[in-house]
Amino acid sequence: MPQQLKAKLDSYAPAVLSLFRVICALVLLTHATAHLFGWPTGRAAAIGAWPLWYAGILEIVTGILLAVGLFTRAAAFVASGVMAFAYFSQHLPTSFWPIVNKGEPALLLCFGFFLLVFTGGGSIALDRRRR
Amino acid sequence: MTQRLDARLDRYTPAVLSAFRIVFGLLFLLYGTSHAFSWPLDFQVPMGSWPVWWAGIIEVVTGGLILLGLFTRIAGFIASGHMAVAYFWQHQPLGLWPVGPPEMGGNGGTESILFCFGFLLLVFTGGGAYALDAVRGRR
Repeated sequence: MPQQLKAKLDSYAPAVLSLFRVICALVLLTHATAHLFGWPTGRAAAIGAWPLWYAGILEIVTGILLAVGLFTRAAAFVASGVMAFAYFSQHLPTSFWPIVNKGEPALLLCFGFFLLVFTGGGSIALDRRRR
Repeated sequence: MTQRLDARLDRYTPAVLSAFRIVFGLLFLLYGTSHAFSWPLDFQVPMGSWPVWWAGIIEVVTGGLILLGLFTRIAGFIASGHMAVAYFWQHQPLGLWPVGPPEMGGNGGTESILFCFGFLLLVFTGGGAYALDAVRGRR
């Protein structure tokens, strides 16, 4: 690939990173509301029920923070941990393969948020206004 | 968070980006082999059938390249577009929301969305520190 094109693509990376952050956060948020309120799909977990209700609370808080890009690294660290826990406790026991145990979203979000811990929220984030 | 911690975390970005790329590439590759070669999960796709078997071939090729970090940006571009097509063609008609499989009222497209935007990010960042592209560029 020509170096010029590479440099041009690189210059847009911070903006695309923010887009990626918002999409992952929205996916997390919709799963949070599914756990807590049974919306947009699924059945709501009973209040205080372990582990889904607590997962929903953690997901909704970190999901909102990640969507707006506030305290991105800290929120992403927590969300990544929640997804890792979800994968090992909810999905892995059913099967080794992610395609069979339905854990790919958890796995993808886990590593996506882990990346955000190191990159920060990109160019379009409230974190940029904080300093 | 303190500026110092931010700077320290930033330094590891290229390595973590490669870990991210490998996980996304590997899972994508497994989707490809399930579609095209019925392994590890048999999706019951007859060989040569349109579009799912051919989708599997695209996924095997681009997933393998992304896993290795070879031509990452180009493979990421194709895989990202492939997932956008898959979402709007195969998942969106099944339901409005991506949350959950069709039997639970969703359209089962969450993975497509995450793959689509994950690979789009790789188009702009490249494959990170541990990629065959990095070896290729050094020469």
